[in-house]
Amino acid sequence: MSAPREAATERRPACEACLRRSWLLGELSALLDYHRGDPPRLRALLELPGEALIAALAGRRREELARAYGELDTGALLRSARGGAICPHTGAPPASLATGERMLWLSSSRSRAMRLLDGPSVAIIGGRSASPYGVQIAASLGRGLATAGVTLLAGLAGELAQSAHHGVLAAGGASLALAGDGLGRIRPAEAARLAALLARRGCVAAELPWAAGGRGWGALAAEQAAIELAEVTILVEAYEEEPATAAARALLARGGALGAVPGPVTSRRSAGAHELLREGATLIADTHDALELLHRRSPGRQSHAPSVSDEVQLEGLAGELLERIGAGEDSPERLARDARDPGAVIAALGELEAMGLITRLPGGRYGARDPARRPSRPG
Amino acid sequence: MLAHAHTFTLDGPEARHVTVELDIRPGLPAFTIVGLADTAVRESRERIRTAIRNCGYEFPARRITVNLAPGDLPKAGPGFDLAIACALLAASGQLGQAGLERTALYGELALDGSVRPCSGTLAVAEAARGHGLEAIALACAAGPEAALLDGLQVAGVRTLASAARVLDGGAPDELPEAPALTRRAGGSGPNPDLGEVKGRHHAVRALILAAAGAHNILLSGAPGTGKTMLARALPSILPELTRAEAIEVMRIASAAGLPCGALLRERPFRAPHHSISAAGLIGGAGPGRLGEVVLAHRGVLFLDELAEFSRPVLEALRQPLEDGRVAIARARRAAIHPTRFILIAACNPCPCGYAGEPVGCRCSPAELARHRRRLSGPLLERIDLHVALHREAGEDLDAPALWSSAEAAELVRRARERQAARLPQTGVLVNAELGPSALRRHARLDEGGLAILAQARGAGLLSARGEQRLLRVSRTLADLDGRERVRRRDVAAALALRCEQQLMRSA
Repeated sequence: MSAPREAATERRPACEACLRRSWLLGELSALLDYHRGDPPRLRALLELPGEALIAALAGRRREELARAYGELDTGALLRSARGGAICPHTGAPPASLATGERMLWLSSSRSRAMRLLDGPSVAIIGGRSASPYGVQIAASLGRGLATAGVTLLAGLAGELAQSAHHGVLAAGGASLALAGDGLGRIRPAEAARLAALLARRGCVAAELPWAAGGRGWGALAAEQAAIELAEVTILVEAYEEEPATAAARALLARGGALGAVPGPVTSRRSAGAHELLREGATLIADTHDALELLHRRSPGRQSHAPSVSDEVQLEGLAGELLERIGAGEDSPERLARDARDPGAVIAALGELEAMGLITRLPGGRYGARDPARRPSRPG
Repeated sequence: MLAHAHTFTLDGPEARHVTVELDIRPGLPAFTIVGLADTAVRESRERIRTAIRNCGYEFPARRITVNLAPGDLPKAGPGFDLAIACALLAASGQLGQAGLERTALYGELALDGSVRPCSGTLAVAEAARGHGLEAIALACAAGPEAALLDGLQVAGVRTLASAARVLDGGAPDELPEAPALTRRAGGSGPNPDLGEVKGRHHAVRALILAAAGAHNILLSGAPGTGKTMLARALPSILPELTRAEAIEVMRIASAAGLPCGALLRERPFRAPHHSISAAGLIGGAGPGRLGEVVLAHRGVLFLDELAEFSRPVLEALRQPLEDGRVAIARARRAAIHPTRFILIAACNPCPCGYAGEPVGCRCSPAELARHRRRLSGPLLERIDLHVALHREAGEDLDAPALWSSAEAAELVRRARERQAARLPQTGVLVNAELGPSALRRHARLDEGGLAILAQARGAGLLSARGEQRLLRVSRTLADLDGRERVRRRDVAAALALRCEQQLMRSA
């Protein structure tokens, strides 16, 4: 039984430097916490190489940490993980990850995360608290993006992020959540429940190793990671002075694609979004607007939902229906209208639903399910 | 002197035998009625006193006691007048007792002595025949209704004097022709023809399926997508009632006080407003009051704007939908009424009505949550078919209709004939009433059907009850196609028409 373990060690999912950096950030998270009120200082610290960071922060633990950092057994660190890992320098990383210096620990297999990150992606961010309006919009964006085959990236802690993930799950899709702490330390219970759901039908990713965490700025770090990994970011709701607004503003300043959802003019929770709209963010009223922004950003990208998954080969009518549903012909009335045998069309829809290839959306229209989430055919 | 007479009181759509015992004794003049009588029965004393005098008979100035037996059965309505008056004439020696022993009496007296018809005539006549009585004397206007039954002489009487004459062996008055009702009373205007429905072919097919197997169906969609029109077209494609069914339906309509004329073969169509109470829907609002589910027996119950009905009202539908009967227990009585109807419901997918439409839904989360709470899972699970209607871009509203009502009715009739042919084995006329053992025998699946059922079960799309209902719909699809064997495509199509998943998500 030892052979596979050795083989796994040889084909490491992350490089030595990324693993050491991740371990160090976990060890220093409590010390970095002191600087969360001073973002420029925090950014400057995070740019320091490992030894310099220890020297700047560790104080009396400096020597002990430097020794442990030097002698770190990254193989043991990898073995402590319960899922895969992914880093910009190993294998063929997704384009969004390759441009940064960020490694991710995964709750799922590496291939699943790669599939999610390879497709078009949209990040949804927002303030710490949300109004029922914000929750509804986030969920509806999540549902719409899942139906269009776009990967949702969002944090795990905030109410907005959680409702966006739930929206994706309701439409039978899969999303990628970014956890602020290590995957073994997901708090509170609500986030842990969502993480468990996503582990089955999506992926949760973290910058810190399994047991590391407890950092106060974890949620902000996760949000920042989502912004960096996604092609388009949408701010749903945030106060003007909140970090989410600041992060979105920084993205806009860098020339990134930012959308913002307008709210009632009297709502302070929408003031951040309104301010960003004035500064040049794109107005997002529904999924259609989000997809348009995504298309403008990367015109050549194709969403992956409408295509038939490789592992499920469908012939004839069912395959044709799946293509048509993906192309937007989504009501049984329309699908059966000109068919020679309308009864066969309805039967094929039933079969596709039983196979989990399509799902019924609000209002009774059909939507193709994300290929990554389709169950395999029994028998 | 003591006299007896036979009459009946209504208990829901059934009639129960009541013996009128009347005793006249010397003493201070008094007229007392005992035996759990309601106000209408107690007031009959004044009507009887005046009617007897106005017909030229003598009202004895003695102590008169009337007992309506059995004493523990509540008696309601004015139908006892004729029986009490005749018993009084017999006890006072103005009429022979013999006629009273073989004739049931049922009618209300006017002050001039004429006899008026009462509700529930058919039920009373049936009960009289069942009680072994030879004849029934009642108002002429109610005569044709009672005459629908064989094996019972119906004597129409215009006045109390005519009743006395009939009881003494004389000829009854002539019965009028039954008024020919063109439409069933209590319905709701003329039904549109299916040929008038433009496009909506998927929905029309589902409607035919519902009619063929008597399956419950839910139409959901944005305002103006034709839900109500389709629902109102359903009665036009249902087969006519058989004679036995028609008599059963008429007995209920008559007991509810709806005008009844000649025997109507048209099926009942009840469409109560969404402000109805639970008692109004299932019955029990007052003694013998029948609910809409009972009045829709063997017909159609149409609930428009389903999500606007109050939650307790909708939950009260569970038993009638599942068991085909409703058991009502109140403080003084308990009754079981038949409720075999097709439920057709229409609703919007959300309070604003535009979920899933290009214009977009503008409902708040609180409104959506309220909408979801109204339509509970258990209720939706009892609805076999769900059709979502949408506004389609580029929809051709001049597209020819698939079938006219007459053509669709023919398809339904043929499918029902196939179901009726299985009657000796199944004991039921329509697939919606098939029990589990009959399903096992008559909806046996081929390998493909079993595979897709297993898949749906594995995907969590079906409960045990949902599976039974799915098989019933599959059986009807095969019947509509004229096939004996249920195939994979029948199961798959039935699955595509299940609804509970979708509506729970839409809200």
